[in-house]
Amino acid sequence: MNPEALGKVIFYGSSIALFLIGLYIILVKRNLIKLILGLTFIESGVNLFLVSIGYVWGRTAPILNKPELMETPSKLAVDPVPQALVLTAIVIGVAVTAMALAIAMLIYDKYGTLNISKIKELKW
Amino acid sequence: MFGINMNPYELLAAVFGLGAILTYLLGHFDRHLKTWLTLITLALATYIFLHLPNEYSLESPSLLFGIDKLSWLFGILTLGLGTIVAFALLAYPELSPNFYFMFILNIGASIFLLLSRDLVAFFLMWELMSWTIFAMILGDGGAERGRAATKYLVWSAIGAAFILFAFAILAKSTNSFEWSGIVAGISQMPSGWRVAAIALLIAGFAVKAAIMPMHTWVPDAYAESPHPFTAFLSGVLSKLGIYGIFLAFFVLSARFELVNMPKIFGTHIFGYILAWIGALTAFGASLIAIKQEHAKRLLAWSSISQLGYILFGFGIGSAIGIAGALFHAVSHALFKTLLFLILAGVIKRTGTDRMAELGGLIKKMPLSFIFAVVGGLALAGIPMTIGFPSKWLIYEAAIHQGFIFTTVLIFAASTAVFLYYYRFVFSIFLGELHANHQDVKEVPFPIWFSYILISIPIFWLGLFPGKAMQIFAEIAEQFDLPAVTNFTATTITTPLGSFNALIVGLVFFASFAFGLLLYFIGGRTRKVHQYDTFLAGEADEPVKLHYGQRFFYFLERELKPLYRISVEKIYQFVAEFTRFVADQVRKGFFCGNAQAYLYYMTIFIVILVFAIWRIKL
Amino acid sequence: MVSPILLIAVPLILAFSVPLWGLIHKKLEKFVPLIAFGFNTYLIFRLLPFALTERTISVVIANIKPPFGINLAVGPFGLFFALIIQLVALATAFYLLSYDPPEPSDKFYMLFILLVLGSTGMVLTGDIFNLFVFLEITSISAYALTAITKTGPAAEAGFKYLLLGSLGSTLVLLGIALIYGSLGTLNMAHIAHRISGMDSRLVVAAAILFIVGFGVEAEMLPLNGWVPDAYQAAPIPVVALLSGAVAKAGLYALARVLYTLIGMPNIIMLLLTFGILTMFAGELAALRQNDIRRLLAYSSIGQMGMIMLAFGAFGVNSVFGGVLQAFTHGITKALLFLVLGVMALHTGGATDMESLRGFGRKFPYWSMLFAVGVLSTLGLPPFAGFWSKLALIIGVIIDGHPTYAALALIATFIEVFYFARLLSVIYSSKLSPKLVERSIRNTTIPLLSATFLAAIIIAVGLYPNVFFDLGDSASRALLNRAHYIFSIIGHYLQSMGGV
Repeated sequence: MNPEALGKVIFYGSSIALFLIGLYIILVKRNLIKLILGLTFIESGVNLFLVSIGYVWGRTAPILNKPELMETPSKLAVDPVPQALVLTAIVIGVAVTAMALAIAMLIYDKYGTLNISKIKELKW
Repeated sequence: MFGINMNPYELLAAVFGLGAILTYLLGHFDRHLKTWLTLITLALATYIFLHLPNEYSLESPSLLFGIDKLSWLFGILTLGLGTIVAFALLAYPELSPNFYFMFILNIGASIFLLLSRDLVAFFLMWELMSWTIFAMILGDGGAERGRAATKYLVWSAIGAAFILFAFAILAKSTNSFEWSGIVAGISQMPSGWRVAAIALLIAGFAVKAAIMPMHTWVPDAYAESPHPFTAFLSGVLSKLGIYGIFLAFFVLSARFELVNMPKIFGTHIFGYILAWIGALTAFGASLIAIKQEHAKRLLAWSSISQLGYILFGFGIGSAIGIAGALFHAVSHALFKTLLFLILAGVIKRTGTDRMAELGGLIKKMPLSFIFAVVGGLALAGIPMTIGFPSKWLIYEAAIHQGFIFTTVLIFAASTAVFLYYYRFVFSIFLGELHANHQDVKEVPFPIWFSYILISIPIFWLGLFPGKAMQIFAEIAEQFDLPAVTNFTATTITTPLGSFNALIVGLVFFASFAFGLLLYFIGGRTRKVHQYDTFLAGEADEPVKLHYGQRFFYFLERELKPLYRISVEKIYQFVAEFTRFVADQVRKGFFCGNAQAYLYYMTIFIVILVFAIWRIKL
Repeated sequence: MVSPILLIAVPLILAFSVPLWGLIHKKLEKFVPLIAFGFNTYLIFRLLPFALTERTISVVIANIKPPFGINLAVGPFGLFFALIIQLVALATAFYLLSYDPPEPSDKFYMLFILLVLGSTGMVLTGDIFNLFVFLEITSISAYALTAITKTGPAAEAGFKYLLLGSLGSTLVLLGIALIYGSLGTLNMAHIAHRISGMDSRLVVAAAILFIVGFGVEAEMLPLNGWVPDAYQAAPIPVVALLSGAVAKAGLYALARVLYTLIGMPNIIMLLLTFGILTMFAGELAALRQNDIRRLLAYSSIGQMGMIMLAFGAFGVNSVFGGVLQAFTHGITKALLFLVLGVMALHTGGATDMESLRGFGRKFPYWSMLFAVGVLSTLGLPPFAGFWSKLALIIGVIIDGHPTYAALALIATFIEVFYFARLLSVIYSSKLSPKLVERSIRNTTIPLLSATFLAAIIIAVGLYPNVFFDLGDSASRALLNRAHYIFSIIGHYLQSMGGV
């Protein structure tokens, strides 16, 4: 197996693994903090997937700091768009996680528990 | 008119709209002003209605209106009886301005419903007419009224859904939203869809026309709506359902391929089924009317029964049948409005419509009694009132067509009319006066004057039915239907023979007068009071005796198996079942556990994958 | 033409300037949303004549023409939804003037503006990643606003919403990744142009991810567990926006992605089934509900299901009905919630049916507004709901799905039942002991804002022409995929030599 294909397998494989671990956590664990952790796992999996789409084996980061990069960036650098997307997605993910943790704190404050199956005041 | 360059149709809409709003706003200031404003509005509307040009189209939303003989007839009924009911409303200053607002809006919607010439306009007006009734039944919002209004609105929505669905099918198949386009294109429709559309339309209109088994809202709604309005609801608004059935059955279907369907007794099967439904409605409802304890419910069931007669006439579909059904629509509108107004007057004076609590009111309210007899004669189809020619024509049509079983049912229903109406008159007006009603007065002027107003056409058309027959013949001609054309002012000739309504009426009147004379000359009566009871010759301890209570108990006992048949039970079962499912969905699905929702999402993804796997891309 | 970018830029600047206004005077803060949405409404009305045409224009940002760079694709379909969002937002912002915001108030107003801004951005953007970013802006502000009162139920509802919403938007991101990985572009027109060349299994996977992701916001059946809770626990003005703005933006995204990007009739028609299921679930759950807030939330689910059904029928007539229904549903639900908020002021915050029994006897005008909303929801004339429901049912039948139309009509029986019961409770002659004579706050401003919404409903009901024209061009624009592609990247395709 050539290194390029191996790299793809590793990248995609680990992103899928991250996704599935996250899915397992959110479906099985009952603790709010663990659920949030599961969400971040899923997010990381998706982000890794997005980066690996744009990655081309053996190329460098799309930062135009060398003269040869400035001349033919499309031959030497990887696709910059996914990286920009992932940066945005990471920022958003951080915001969501922070939000979630803040609400989890609030819930612990009011309900005295972090068990999601006990937080059922609103129902039906 | 008024120097404004407005189309009469727009003017009519403006009169209704402004009239409703003005009545609502000014009605807060004076107790009687709102009724007078209503009367003015209706008078103006009637004037404009009589001077409408043939057609009018609104550009956008594209609505088409027009007037023909059929809408003229029903429009006159609506406006005329509406005005009379509004006049009686003068005696009810306590009704809120909201009621008047809805009342005017309701009449306006009914009129434009009759004038509409395309599906969208028709449905628009139908819905407006329907929910304003809901608002009026809800009225001041007692618990029972709320329940009746809810029941009404659900039924009305079911009817409207049928109508809307049928309209959409018609519009899709004929590529037209106008009646004329649909009538032109319907023969090209696939016959399955055509039958489905017409059946759906009839089922939808049957809700408003109170035809079994779509009638269950009627007794509740009639019992709970404001008393004078019940007269309008039963007299006029149920006729709009009849109007709709006429459109669906005759204008859309009868002339086309449906005629090629198998025939039974010379009527195509569709009509035969309708005739059966009508006859069963007439028979069943009058049986139920017999055992009612409340006079309003009695009249409500009587309405259902009479509307069954009309449907029966339509179902026969022959020249006599159509003329008889239309005639009976007019006559039922007149006498049922009268009867409900009389009952409204009685309730106004005594505060109850429970027949066991009434009695002997003839001494206190003689005028009401006389008109109750007039209304009863018309209801029973006695000569010299309008009920005679209309019912006679329906019987003739049935006999001429050779409908054996249904004719028996119809005759039985007619007998039942005597039974329950006798009970109505007897327990309210005859017998011993109730102790609480010693100082009851005659109904106020607006109410008894409205009795007189309605009685004029009841007698006039009863003695001279030719004028009405003329209109029915024109309607039939307009829609290419068979018509009874052989009549004079007083005589109607049918294949079974002819009768002269004037002579029959006069003979009947003479014998009636003779009977009355005998009563006054030779009658020896002994007055008894309600506690005058005895048992096996012994004076028992005084028990209040009232014939109004379980009047026809012996009949009820005999007919017990029949009374056990109840569609209401089926509907209640459906409602219970829906509630059960609703609770399962609410408590099972929206269970409140966030993790369950995450499971749903995961499962949903899996389902989507499988669903898309299965379908071809 | 005024630049549609201002629709996003101006509220953005104003949103983050809220604390500054607060420095001058604490009272000034509450005027910021009104200014922002007032300005936006003005802009939308300037753009409306344009929405009546069938053109979609791309508004280029930073002078890089599509398919490169970021652009707004402003077309009749998007503008129609922007109009719904702005009208609801304007009425709600006006309502806020007399509303005691939960502390910290500056954050509340800021998030409030961001919520509307995000949903406006979702309906106007022409770039799929931007769609994701705006989705996140909308939903994060919505989570925060749901939980902002810091009570237990609010936190609970916020958390539920967050769990589902963030998972959903992560799936959207995954879908975008799949598309970008295959096609190498993020411009929606460009994707639409090229998608036929993409591996169909990947397209289907992306479609599934988008349906699930946007379905959360659009209140689709198994994804809507958060809806009743959030509607019950969030502050009333936020609830008005949840149904008027967030749900509509989610619906827009769903329709846009499925119709323009994916464009496979079979996948679109899945919406028929989901729509019907959503509708029945919502209406059935509402049937026995006693809390009016939850009842309206379930009814909102039902209505959204009906709109999805219309979008699933895949035809100009039904989509026409669908967009009209989206409009009336947005306005009507906002009206109902705003009125309900004032009703709750008279019962000490309770919104269950028994506490509000007889409200109509004491407060006829308020109940009249409520009745207008209810009757319009039931599709009765002369209110806007009549036309939209009529157009929807007839449209679905004309586009060849009579069975689904019949099912939708059956679901409306249930709707009629509980709304009639609601009206009869409100207009009951028996008074609830909880009702007070005077509310604790002056209700003139809420009255004006509710009257504004009711006036829209009645005006559209009486004079639906403009409404029809807007809906017509919106539905045509959605279905005309080639036209959308050509308007955005036509020049590029020509320069590449071949369309």
